[in-house]
Parts: sequence; structure tokens; C-alpha cells
Amino acid sequence: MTRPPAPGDRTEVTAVGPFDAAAVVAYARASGDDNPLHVDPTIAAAAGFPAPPVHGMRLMAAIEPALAAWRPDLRIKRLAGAFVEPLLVGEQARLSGRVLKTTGADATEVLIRITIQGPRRGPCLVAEAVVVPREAEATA
Amino acid sequence: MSDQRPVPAEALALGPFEVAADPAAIAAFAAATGAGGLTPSATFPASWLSTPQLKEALRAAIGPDHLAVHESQSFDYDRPLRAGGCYTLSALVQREAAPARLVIVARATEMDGAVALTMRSVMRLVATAGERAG
Repeated sequence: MTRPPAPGDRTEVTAVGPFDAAAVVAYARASGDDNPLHVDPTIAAAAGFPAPPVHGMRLMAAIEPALAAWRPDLRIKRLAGAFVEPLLVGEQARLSGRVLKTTGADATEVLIRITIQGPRRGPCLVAEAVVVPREAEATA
Repeated sequence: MSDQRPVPAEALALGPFEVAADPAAIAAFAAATGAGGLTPSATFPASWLSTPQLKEALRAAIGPDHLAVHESQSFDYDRPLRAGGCYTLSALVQREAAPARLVIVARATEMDGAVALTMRSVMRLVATAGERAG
């Protein structure tokens, strides 16, 4: 059995994007989030963006595959995040995570801080995930 | 671990709506995000906010002279969603001022009434008259 993650453990750093306009449209269709800010450069420009911002939720969706690549034995029980800076179409970000603490009788609930950092000073997304062993869901 | 933060009493109640973790929709979401596939990804239920009746109500709450910019989002699972599962979605929507925000708390329950998921979405409302969005 793989040892549980421990405070201070870090995930692999993974690339997020770059996303082209077609990828943004694909997410809009799959999610139903057709907010024109993300798919219409004219509206994005009117809102002050030099290019449409990628859906924040598309960035958040990148967390689960990254965590699964790091620890496929864990699943997300809670995920919460704040969208700070935009990631614009054509830009790339990097995702990194660090275990903050473990809780539960067998330290099976793991709190991870995840940051998706784009080209600007501030992060695109700061999130926290609580993950638990996948076998726990079968008996929960 | 449901989101226990209170929702103001004057919040607009929407639903219940029937939603599903439809395998085809899960696959489409996975194709667009790389997340999930055979089972719903953690963020897949965000697509339920586009349920037609809910989406229409949210558009009305946002108003024609504002754009919604997603500020924060949470998903609290009391139990994992099942591919092919049907759920009842109810939402409470609150519009805040200074700054203008829309707060949506949506709960998906199993058909037996057990809560499976609570989502909390905060949207900042940006005037379309040229105010810079963040």
C-alpha cells in the first residue's frame, strides 16, 4: 500500500494550456458556460482584456487530472478555489500543489493547496482540495 | 462536508430541477478538460448550472447590462456522483451590492433526499459600459 501523503509533499508541476480559441469554445460547449466574455474577442476587449480569458472553471478542471497523475489512489472530496488573475487565450500556466495537512484517524483526509500560476504576477487560481483514498468511497 | 455557510433569507430559490450525470455529457466534459471519463469529474456538476431554467433565471439576475466574471467556486461532496445517476438540483441565488456579486449555492440530492453535493459559485458582475474586469 502506498504511504499516505504527508505535509510538505509536493505534486508534480504540470503545464496548463496554452488554450486556443477552439479549446475555449469546446469547454463552453461541454460545460454550457457560453459567457461571451470567454468566446467573443470584441466583448473581451470591451471588458479590458487584450484576448478572451479562459474560463476559470477550465483551469479548475485541470486540478483533478494533475492530482490523479500524482496520486491515482486518491479522489477529490472537496475542491474550492478563487480566480485571481485571468489566463488569456494563448497563454500558458503551471500547476503545483503542496500538502498542507492530514486529518482523520489514519490521516486519510489530505488537504492540498494548489496554485495555477500564469504569466502575471498574481496566480490565476488558488485552490484547496481535500482528497481521500479511493477505496474509502466504496465503504463511505 | 457540505458547505454550511448561511444563505441570506431573501435569496431567490430556484428548482428543484432534475439533472443527470449523463455518460455522454461526462465524456464530452472529459474530452474538453481531460478530467473524468467513465465517472464524473469533480467539476463536472458546474455544467448543471446551465440547466435551461436555472440558466435563464441566472441571466435575469445578472441583467442585460452586466457580465458575470467567476470569482470563486467550491464543490463539497457528501458522496461521489455516479455515472448515469439522476439527482435533484435546488439553488439559492443572492445578488449582492458594492461590489455587485451573484452568489449561487446549489445542492444536488439523491432521489432518496440524501445530499450528494453542494456547490457555491460567486460571480462578480461587471458593467458592460467599459469597466475593467479582473
